[in-house]
Amino acid sequence: MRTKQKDNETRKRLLWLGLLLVTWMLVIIWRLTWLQVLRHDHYVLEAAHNQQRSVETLATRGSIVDRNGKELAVTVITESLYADLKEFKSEAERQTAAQLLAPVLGYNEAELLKKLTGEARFVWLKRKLDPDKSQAVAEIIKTQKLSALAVKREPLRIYPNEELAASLIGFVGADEKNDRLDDKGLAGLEQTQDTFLHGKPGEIQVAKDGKNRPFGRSEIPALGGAQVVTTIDAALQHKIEVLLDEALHMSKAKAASAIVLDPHNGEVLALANTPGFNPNERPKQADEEARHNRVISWPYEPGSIFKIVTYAAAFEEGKATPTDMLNCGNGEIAIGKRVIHDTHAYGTLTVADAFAKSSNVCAIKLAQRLGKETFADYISRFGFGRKTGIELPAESRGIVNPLTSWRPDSIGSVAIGQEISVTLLQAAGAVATVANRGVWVQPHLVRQVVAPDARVLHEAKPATRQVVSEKTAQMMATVMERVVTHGTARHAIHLAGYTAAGKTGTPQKVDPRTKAYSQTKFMPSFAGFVPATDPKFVIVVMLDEPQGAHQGGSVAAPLFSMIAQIALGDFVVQPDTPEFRSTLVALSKRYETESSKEEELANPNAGEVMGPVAPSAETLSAQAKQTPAPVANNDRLTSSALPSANLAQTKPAQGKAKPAPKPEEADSGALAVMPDFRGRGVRAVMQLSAELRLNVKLQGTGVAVRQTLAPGTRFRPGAECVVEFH
Amino acid sequence: MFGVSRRYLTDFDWPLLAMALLVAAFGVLEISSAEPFPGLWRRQLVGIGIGLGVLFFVTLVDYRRIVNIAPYLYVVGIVLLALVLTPLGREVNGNKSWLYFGSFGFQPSEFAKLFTLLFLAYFLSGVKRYPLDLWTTIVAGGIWAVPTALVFAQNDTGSALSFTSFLAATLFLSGLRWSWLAAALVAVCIAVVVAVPYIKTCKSYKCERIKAVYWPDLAEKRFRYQNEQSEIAVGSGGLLGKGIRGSTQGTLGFVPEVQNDFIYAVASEETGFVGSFAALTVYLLIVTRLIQIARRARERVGLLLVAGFASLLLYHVTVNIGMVLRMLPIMGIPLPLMSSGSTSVVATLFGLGLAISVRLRRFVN
Repeated sequence: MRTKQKDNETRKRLLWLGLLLVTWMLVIIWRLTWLQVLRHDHYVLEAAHNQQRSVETLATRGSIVDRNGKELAVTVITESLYADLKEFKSEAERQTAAQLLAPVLGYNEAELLKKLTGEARFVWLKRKLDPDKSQAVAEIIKTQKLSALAVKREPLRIYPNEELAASLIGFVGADEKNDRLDDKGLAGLEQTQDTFLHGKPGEIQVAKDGKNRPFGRSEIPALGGAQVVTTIDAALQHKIEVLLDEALHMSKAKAASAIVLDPHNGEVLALANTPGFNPNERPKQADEEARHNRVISWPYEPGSIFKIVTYAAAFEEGKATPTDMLNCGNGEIAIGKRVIHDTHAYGTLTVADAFAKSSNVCAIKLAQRLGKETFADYISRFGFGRKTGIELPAESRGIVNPLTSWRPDSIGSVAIGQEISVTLLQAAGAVATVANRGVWVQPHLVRQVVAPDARVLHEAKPATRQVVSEKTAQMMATVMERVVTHGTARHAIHLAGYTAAGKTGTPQKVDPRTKAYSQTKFMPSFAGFVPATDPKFVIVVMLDEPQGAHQGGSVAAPLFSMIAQIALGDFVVQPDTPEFRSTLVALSKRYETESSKEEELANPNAGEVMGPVAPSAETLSAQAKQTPAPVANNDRLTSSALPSANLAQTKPAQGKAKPAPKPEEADSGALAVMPDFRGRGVRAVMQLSAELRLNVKLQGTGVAVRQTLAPGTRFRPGAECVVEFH
Repeated sequence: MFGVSRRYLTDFDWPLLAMALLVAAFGVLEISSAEPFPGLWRRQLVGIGIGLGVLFFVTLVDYRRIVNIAPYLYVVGIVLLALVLTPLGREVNGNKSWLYFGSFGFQPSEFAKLFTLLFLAYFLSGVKRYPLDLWTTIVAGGIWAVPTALVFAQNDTGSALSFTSFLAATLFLSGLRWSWLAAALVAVCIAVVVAVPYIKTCKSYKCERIKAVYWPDLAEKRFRYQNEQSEIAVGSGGLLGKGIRGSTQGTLGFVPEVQNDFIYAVASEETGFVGSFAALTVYLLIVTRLIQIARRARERVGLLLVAGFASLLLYHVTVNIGMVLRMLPIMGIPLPLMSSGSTSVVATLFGLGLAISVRLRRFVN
């Protein structure tokens, strides 16, 4: 080939080199576009992420307190010890560390040395050290210059009252996700209120370079969790738990539960389950039984207590009144294929007595009068078969069979509380409905939730539902009071100065083997309220399988009585039995005449204030809103006064008084102050009027809405006053 | 012979030099910005100064005189490469490619590339046959193989492969048969296919570096680090960049070896797509200019020399930028004129000097 040709060929080939160049450049330009233009945002984040190292700072979990601010669960900050095993400079250092720390941490030396051997950069040695131990550890680290060991501050949840209210407070555990200790509610309120209780962890942002050297810093402070204020009264709760423990011990029952409810606003004042557990010991799955909150998650056949629903429905539907006569069929009734017996054979009883003596036959007859559709409707309206929505996990809705699966004899079973399962809380809710003029109020445990900056994040707004009329509720209260005065609980309840109403129940447990009702295993229970005239507390008590005595009236009712006595005393409730009141009124009137005479000399207007003894402390407090009341020196006394407070208040006058003025003087000349009847029931008004010798005329039923004599006006005994109810 | 005539001044390829200095200046700027230790950019300026001296010297000398001593230069190069493997050599960053005389150190491989290229051009320009016969091809391969093997022995894979770039270019231009070329390409493809499963399981650092780019999930984290950081640097630069001295990836030490092989990462981070594209374009223009010079060379030897150098430069630019942009595995290849390192700068300017010299003498006297 000639040189010229050859050169031309070569020069042509050079173009291939150019082509290669252009191709490569295009590839690179595409890549540059992809990285710098299309995916730019992603890499900006990555670059920023590179420089940031954030350290989380602790946010303290909010506390749980009772209604008076007493702490039920608090978080304290403890120190945890960890090691960076790569930081150990020598084997000797490891040994020194193991030797010195083992006794403090409660390990044996070899065990600790094993933990300290390896390459891991992070090993927990002991978490949540006691304060004195963490001091000792810090001392050792400092003197031995153990750079491989360090402490981290970690939260520790403490339940200062140990077992107290454990089944409703619950407990916490470590959050596996972020290895944050004690900030994950695993049971009870700790679980349901978790989002409120959680703090918001703070963050320290450290800007760092490629060699991990920090060059900048910013901090978002941690925000502590909110405080959950419960409706519980810790003192009452404690007394009830002690009482239940005692009852459990004496009766050798398997378990006992009680709940105390304010019927008017649905606040749970106490909720106790024994045996309990200590949440400080962080119960494991194994203690499931002990952790069980029987009151809300353990449905049982309520037995005779359920007759409250049967009778209430019959009254409301006009199928019976307490004074109607009912044939109890000599203690025997055949329904479907079943024959149901009463414990005692009764002939004809009033409806009130049939209830008081817990006649099964009569209850079934009333249910039959209602028909199953209407009856089932009332069961649902009283809250059975649905959750109350209380702030606790694992609430049971109970077991209410749908109408379609009722057998012909089912209506008889349900009427006496069989073939239906309810929770103690549902039962308490139904009783509270009777106590609250027929209005069901949703039971709840959380009063409010308050953020660290005092903002209220949540306020209890319980749902309400009119289930039966006030009139029906009144009739039910009458028949339930008769249970205590003449019925199955007549020897069991002794409340000095207070009336009580309720219903006994002695359901038989179903034997899991025979699937039939056991003849030896019972769950005696009592559900009621006090005082009967103006209910302040609904109390439901239940014992599981007591040995020996097993009747609701003989086992559970005395417990109810004791709990009621405690609650009435703790909350300083005005006594309401007629005997007690008339004694009291007579007593105070003797002082009042005298003091008013003396006061009138000094100050003509004083009589109005100090005057004839306050008809009841409550009316006084009602007056207190208008005139400065002398009693208002203590929060508790203003809201629900004590008779002794009245007496104490008149003491200074007594000192100056001439001894024992004649009763006639006191009776004839005295002016009484008109109480404020508004918002009270018929019974309460009648009782008060009797004491004040006020000639009262009642119009209508329900709650007093109007009175002809204005509250606060003075009247002579025998004056007439018309009170309208609505 | 050293007389600077008017013709020298008018025919001198000033645009090529200007472009080279532009890129070099950009490099100095970015080195001063990244600056892993103070004053590095001044050392780079000294390197550029020496390189310019070499460049002007070479342009003044007729390149044919240099080609005539190519066999000796080749031998000198081989000896220097061999010396690196003796205790005189020193290891820097895992590559034993440095030779120190007192405190003065340089990388013989940078010069060995040019000396080998000179010798290849010298040898192939003398071959009269077209297309190439087998014997000539084998001899050329031998000339290539000796320095390549020595550089491989230094563990400097990137530089070793760079020899292949100009071997291929000079052989191709000297009339390699298309069929042989096709056969070679097929062989390479087969080799790649065979090697892939092996590379995926192999744990050596070279394999890890390959996996870090093509199969990042299989690679160990520590080998991915440099790729990832470099990618973040470039990507976070965006369209307009973070501004000169605005780098975080480079200046805060996230991208290792940022002043050397990864200078383009900082440049991209600080000047963005616009700056990266501009720098790339200048390299493109330089290589295009070199190809143009090759086409107009008066003699075959000049053509082969300049074309070989163009392909060497192209190899360096594409491989370096390819690894910065995470398209190619990391191997020690500096970016010509921009990366810090006197040897590379001087060698590159020496090569450009040869090209300018060829251009100066493109017309018959």
